[in-house]
Amino acid sequence: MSIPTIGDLSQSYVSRLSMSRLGRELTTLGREVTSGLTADVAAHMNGDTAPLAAVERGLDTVSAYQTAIRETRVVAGAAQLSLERAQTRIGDVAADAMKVAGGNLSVSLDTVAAAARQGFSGMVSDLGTSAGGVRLFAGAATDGPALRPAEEIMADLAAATWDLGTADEVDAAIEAYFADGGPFDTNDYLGATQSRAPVRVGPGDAVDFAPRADATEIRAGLKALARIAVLDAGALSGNQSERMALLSSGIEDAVTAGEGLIALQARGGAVEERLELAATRAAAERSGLETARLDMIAIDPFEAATRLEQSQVQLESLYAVTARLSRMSLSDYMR
Amino acid sequence: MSISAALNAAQSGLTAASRAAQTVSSNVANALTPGYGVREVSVSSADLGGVSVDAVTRRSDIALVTERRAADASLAGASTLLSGLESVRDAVGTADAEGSVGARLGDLEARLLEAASRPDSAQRLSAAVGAAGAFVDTLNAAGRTIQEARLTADRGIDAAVGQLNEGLGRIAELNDRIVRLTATGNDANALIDQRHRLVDEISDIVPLKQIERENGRVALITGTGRLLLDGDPVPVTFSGTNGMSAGAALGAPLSGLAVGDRAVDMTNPRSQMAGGRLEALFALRDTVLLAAQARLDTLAFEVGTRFQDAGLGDAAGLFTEAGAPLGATSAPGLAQRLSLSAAVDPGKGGAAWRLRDGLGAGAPGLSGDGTRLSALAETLGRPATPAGTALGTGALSLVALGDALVGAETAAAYGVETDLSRARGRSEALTEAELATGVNTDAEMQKLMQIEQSYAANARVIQVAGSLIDRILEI
Repeated sequence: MSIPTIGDLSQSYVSRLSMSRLGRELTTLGREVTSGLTADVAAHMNGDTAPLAAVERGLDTVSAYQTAIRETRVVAGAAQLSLERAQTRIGDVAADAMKVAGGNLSVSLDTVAAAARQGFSGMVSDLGTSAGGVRLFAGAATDGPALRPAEEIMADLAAATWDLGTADEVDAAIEAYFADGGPFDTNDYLGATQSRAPVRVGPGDAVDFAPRADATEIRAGLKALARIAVLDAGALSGNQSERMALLSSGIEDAVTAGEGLIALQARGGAVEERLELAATRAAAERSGLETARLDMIAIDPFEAATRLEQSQVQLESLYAVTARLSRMSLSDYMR
Repeated sequence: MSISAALNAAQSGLTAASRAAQTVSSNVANALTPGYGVREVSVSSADLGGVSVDAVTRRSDIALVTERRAADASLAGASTLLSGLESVRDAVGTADAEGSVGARLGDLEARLLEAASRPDSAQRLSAAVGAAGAFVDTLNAAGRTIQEARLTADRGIDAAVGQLNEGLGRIAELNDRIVRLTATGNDANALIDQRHRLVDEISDIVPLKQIERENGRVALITGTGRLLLDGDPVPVTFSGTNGMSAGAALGAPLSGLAVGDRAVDMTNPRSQMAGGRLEALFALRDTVLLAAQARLDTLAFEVGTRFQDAGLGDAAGLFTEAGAPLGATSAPGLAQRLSLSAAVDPGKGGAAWRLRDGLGAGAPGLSGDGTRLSALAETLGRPATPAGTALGTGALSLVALGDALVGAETAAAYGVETDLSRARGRSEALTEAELATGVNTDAEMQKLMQIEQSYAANARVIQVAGSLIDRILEI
């Protein structure tokens, strides 16, 4: 009767197989323990990696939106600051003008006119500010100036008003200068007539706050300052009563223009608030996506460490068994 | 009982013992030879006393061997299929990889959004153009990988068919030699070992069953029942192609397989040549990789047409088919031909600002105008129903389509990976079982001790018989 035996090759084949399997397992587990992430994403997600891809894309987009939000906030903040300064300038001039008109002798008409001229220059240079390389009030032409230098504008205004005799005529001349299609539009405004495009700061969410220097509110502000400033440039010189009349008519204008600028700032404030909201939302979305991503591909470090330990023990036992088996040979005992 | 009969019997015992010792030494020497069948001496009592050696038989469990060959064939098939699918999966990338097709599209969207936030920034515009270029490169490379993998599969079939025919021819020759040796009463076991190894070598191409015929001859049929060798080998024919185009398909102009004078339909999973590497190579060339190419082309077509129809007033889209606007339908291999519009491609004299100012613009426009950039970014994120159905029929954005493609390739490879590990487990178990029927040195040593005893005993009998004869002669 033949007793079944086990071939020598079989034993060595089995131990070689086990050794390579355990070796592979140790490498994989070692990588997983050190990285905390699964080494085989497809197997970890049962072959369906679509959810992970969606999360990864979400993270890409959120970080792009975050960049856009950050930059738009800088631009909107700088524009707000310029508008606020312009509004203060107009307010100061209006207050002084009221004192003069009310007969307060502490301020003279000439002083107010000089202050208005300075305020005009200041406002023009405020409107020329840029934030991070973007000219704020030049519309889509963000790489060029928004307005001509204030001295040149003032010189044109003076030229248009120096020979006029009455306050009403000067008034009309300045109105005409700043009217739509007037010299202000054709000569002074150097930016684009096209506004900067709304910036997308979230899925389906775009913010639009790009006031141009030729916007109605800003134009009104410049006009209000110019009306008083021409007095400093020599308009109606010598005719104190007409000068006074022009100043008085300028006060109302300045107050209205100040209100207009405040309304513009309020719009900017609303946009800043929306940006704030968008930033919060993007941050929340980002952390949500990051958590989801980890949920999908992270492994339990304790489990991985335990399995690593186990594989190591197994491999050591396998070495011991292989060594023992190879010593067990009948030939050794036959001599 | 005569003394000479005793001498004869002892003599036959000595012969049997030396034959057995020879067998043991052969077994021990071949303990590590793969494909070696353990030799056993079969003896019986001789008619006129003594022992006779009937034959030296070769131990082999043919049922087990056939099973193992089938398992090896399916393992070879699965691993061939997997290596093809893995090359595609690696070319389009995986969901967690930075450079996957989906990630490239997502990156393009992000760069466009960032450029729309600062349209005046030359770096942002270049980054967006760079992202578009990287997407095109990834797509082109993936298409070429598929085309190359199909060519490799075709060459693989050619090589496998050559190997199969040569192997069958050599087995037929060995069959003849074994028959001659057996007929003249010689030991043909060494040749049978050799034939066993030859059948092993070709049975991963297509699983083979061995049928015993007279005088040690064998016939070979495939696992699904096609006779390949009975006396003469049946020729297997295939003609390889020299170059592979993306649209090449079975019959136009790719060759099919024929066995004898009959064509075999390799697309049928129960075809007569199914179950091994050959089937996997045909599947790669004619179905699996063609489907991958179709998925890639669908994505390329959608990307091309959606940018073309984005309503931005350009003559052609951001992506072109080798420089020209895309046609109304997609032709195979579009993924390889899709290219970045020369108007923005810095390598072709294009400029990145055209991304902002229009592909046909002659000079840079307003630096702060991000309208077009926003619209381009929106094109990537807007869901629409794709014209082709290879990536599903739902309305998906371009980025989502890219991810769907990546997911499909990963899933295809993963499915085969599972099959492969099952096939490997089966093949390993059966290989182990087959090796267990091989030489066990301890058992052989034990036998050797018995043989030694038997030899000594027979020699003693001769010595005693000799002294008996001497005694008689002394009388």
